[in-house]
Amino acid sequence: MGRVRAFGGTLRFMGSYFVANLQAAMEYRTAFWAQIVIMLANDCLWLLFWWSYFQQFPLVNGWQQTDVVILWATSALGIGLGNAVFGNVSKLAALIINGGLDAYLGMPRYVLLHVCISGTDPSAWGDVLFALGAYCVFLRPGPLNLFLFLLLACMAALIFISFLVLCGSLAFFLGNVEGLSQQMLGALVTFSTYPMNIFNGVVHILLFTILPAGFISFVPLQLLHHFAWPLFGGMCGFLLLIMLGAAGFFQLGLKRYESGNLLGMQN
Amino acid sequence: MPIIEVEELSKTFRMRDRAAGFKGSLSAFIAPRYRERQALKPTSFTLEAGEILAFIGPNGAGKSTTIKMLTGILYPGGGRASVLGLVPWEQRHKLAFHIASVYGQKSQLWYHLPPQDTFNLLARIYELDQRAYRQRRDFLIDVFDIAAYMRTPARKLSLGERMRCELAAALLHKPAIVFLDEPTIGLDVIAKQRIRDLIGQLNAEEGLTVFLTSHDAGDIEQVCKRAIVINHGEIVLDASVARLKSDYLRLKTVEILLEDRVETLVSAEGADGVPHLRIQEEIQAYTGIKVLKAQGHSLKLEIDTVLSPLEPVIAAVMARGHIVDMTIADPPMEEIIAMMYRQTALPDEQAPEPSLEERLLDASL
Amino acid sequence: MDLAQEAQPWQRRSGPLQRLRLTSLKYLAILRVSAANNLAYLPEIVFRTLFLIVLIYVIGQLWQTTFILHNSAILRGFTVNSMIWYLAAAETLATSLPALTRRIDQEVRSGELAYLLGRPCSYLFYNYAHYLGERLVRLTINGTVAALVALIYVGPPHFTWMGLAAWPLMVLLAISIEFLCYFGIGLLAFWTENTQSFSFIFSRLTLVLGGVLAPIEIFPQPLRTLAQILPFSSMLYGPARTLVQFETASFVGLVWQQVITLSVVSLLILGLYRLATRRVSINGG
Repeated sequence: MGRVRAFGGTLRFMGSYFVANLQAAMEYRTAFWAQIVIMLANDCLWLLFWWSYFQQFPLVNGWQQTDVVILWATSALGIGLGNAVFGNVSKLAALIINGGLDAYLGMPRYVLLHVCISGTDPSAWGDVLFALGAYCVFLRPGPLNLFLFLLLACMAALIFISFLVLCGSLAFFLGNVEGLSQQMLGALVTFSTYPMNIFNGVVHILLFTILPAGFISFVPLQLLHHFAWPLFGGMCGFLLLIMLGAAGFFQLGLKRYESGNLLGMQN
Repeated sequence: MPIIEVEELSKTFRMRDRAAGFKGSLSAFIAPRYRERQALKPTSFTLEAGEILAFIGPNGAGKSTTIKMLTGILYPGGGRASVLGLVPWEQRHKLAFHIASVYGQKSQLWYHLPPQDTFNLLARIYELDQRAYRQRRDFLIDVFDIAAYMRTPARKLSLGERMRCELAAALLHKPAIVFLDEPTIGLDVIAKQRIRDLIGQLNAEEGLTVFLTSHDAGDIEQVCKRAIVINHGEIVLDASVARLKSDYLRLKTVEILLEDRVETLVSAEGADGVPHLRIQEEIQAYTGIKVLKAQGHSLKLEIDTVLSPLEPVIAAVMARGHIVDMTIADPPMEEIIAMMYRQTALPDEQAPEPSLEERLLDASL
Repeated sequence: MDLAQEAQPWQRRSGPLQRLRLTSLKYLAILRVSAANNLAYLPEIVFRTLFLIVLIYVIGQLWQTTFILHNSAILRGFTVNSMIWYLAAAETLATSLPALTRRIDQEVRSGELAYLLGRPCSYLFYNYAHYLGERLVRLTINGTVAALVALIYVGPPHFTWMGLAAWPLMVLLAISIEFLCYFGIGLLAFWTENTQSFSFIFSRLTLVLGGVLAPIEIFPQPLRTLAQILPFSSMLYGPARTLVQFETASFVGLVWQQVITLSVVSLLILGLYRLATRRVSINGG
């Protein structure tokens, strides 16, 4: 009973932060809406390009016209949701290096969660709107399909955020990794939006392990085409693995941080 | 012949009233309403070559507005000014070769590069003859004692070292006037003293005219000979620093931490209902001492140094017991201004409460 | 006493030729210092090249697969080799863009702009020199890395001498147009909060319609004409295409497009710059 109550409490905690973040972003009303609209426009622009590209040069092997939409929609929704709810992850490396974690350590909440939810990226909502809009318009999904789409996107969001936590936590051990994590993020997003068939074996393996772009867009694509329990189980398994790994790695780094033995810390 | 002449210079800012919310911004876009703020009322003063002037006032008083007009960045609303015989806002480019500005909070040095590189760049920007530049540079490096840092990237310098390099950089092109804005902010006591000495030295040796803005009473007391106090856009006082000191900086706050309890020195209540220093009662000649706080081991006094020099009072306290710690402070600039305002003949007009915009504008001015 | 008229012994008073020399030395010095300052950021530049490698690899794979699936050696006039080299050239340009808008935005908001105006230096040209220093460093490093990747991927390129000669000119025109655009967007900070969003969408438009993923020939019809008309292609496609597949006719057309774009944008941005400096002069910034 206590566990359930604690879980409920955590959800309320996340909820209140979510609302607070939104309110803070809405203070600058025009900037808020401008960012959303512009991200929406950006995503549409890319989709337009790729749609026309694949119309001309369809990749065989069962590639359907709407597949590019699914690919984009799942990655946009997953990444968008991740950035909207856990938007502060991108600042993790900087917080670690500048001692900003101290403020969080002093509070009675699980540090990693607290850090992640204490900021949002308004433009991520543009991604979310785009994803939902594009998916519904181009694929006209039934309720079950839509539910699956949303579920897979949530899982993808968690995988995405766990990946960012892993990258950011490197700062505990390697000092200034901001540039590196930016590039890793870019690489992840890039790989997520291209069909996997174009890559050879070695890269395939990479994309399902170190740079989990495969799980963010490709696997959901397959599942949305033909749902298969083993594949779904595989995705759940990977999700669990990467979440635990990220949390564990962060804890390891946190111990180091608390002991004051950080590399490259000034004064 | 004055180097700066200002006659009835004034400036009023017109700002758009920005309303909150979508409807508000829409109406502001269609039919904008403007609000006026008079940053500088018609003001006149002159500055002779070789003077060191302190330009004092609280935030939003009109200091930055005045300096921006004198350096040619801002057009005035009315009045005239001439700096080095030039009209600043009409001949800004030409004037720029003969003046320098140093802002304590913004750096001119390139962050990742050693000051040496910034110096070389400035030589080019100010179109200096290379041989003369090198001589001048070596001279300044010597005076500011920065030879050791010339090859260190600016980001690795301490604030005091950086400030000296900044000053040297500003003086490379041998400006006739230098505008210093908070040059000692954030520096420790020794570094502050060094900067003050250097400014004084350059003024004495080269006749450098200095226009100093500072909130630090120490800067003003030690470096400047003349002070102009500005508040609410007008000059409240224009006098020598000696007079400023004698009239307004005379009050010092002394905080003493005693080994014994304060009751040994302070009587519970004097004739006027406030605590009195016992020694005050003993030494009749010492008036002008007010006890601000007496609690436990801690004693806080306000001493009018014209009526009551500090030393004898402190000596008397020391004679009666061991002092663990002591702090002597000047009253903050705002208090001095407030005092000045009360004591001068000008009425104390209350300006309307500044909006967020105005405060941001002030912060950037 | 008019000190300004007195000839200071260490500043040579000058005729027009001397003025030109002094002025160009001034801005060259800024360029040099900016480049040196940027090289200090080397780790970040190196990481950027990692991303560049990823991009060229991914899009290159896409193209290779497309070529294979279509069983042809030439697609719309491009071979695999020229396609990959086109990609490398375009991505070099695309990834070497410095964060100009953010810097200008910061300088406007923090009031530092007013401070910089106090120096005998045009703010516009100062920033141009600063930008060039940064951009050239990035172009060199990114270009080297991109060339290596392309070399490993498809072997040596088939550039023509004319292409190689024309390329630097077109790159210079392209990056100058980009400078003016992003500088202008940065100046909008006087009037709006959203400069970052504007520069973002502008850069995306440049990437898509300027042909970073594929030469404009590949675009299907309505898009192709649109991309050809819009000025974005002069910033990416123009230089890359000229290098990789030089054709005199299209070269002339592309250069003209660049020159016209540059002229129009210059007029616009100079006007904006005047407005901005007036605003500083009247309102303090």
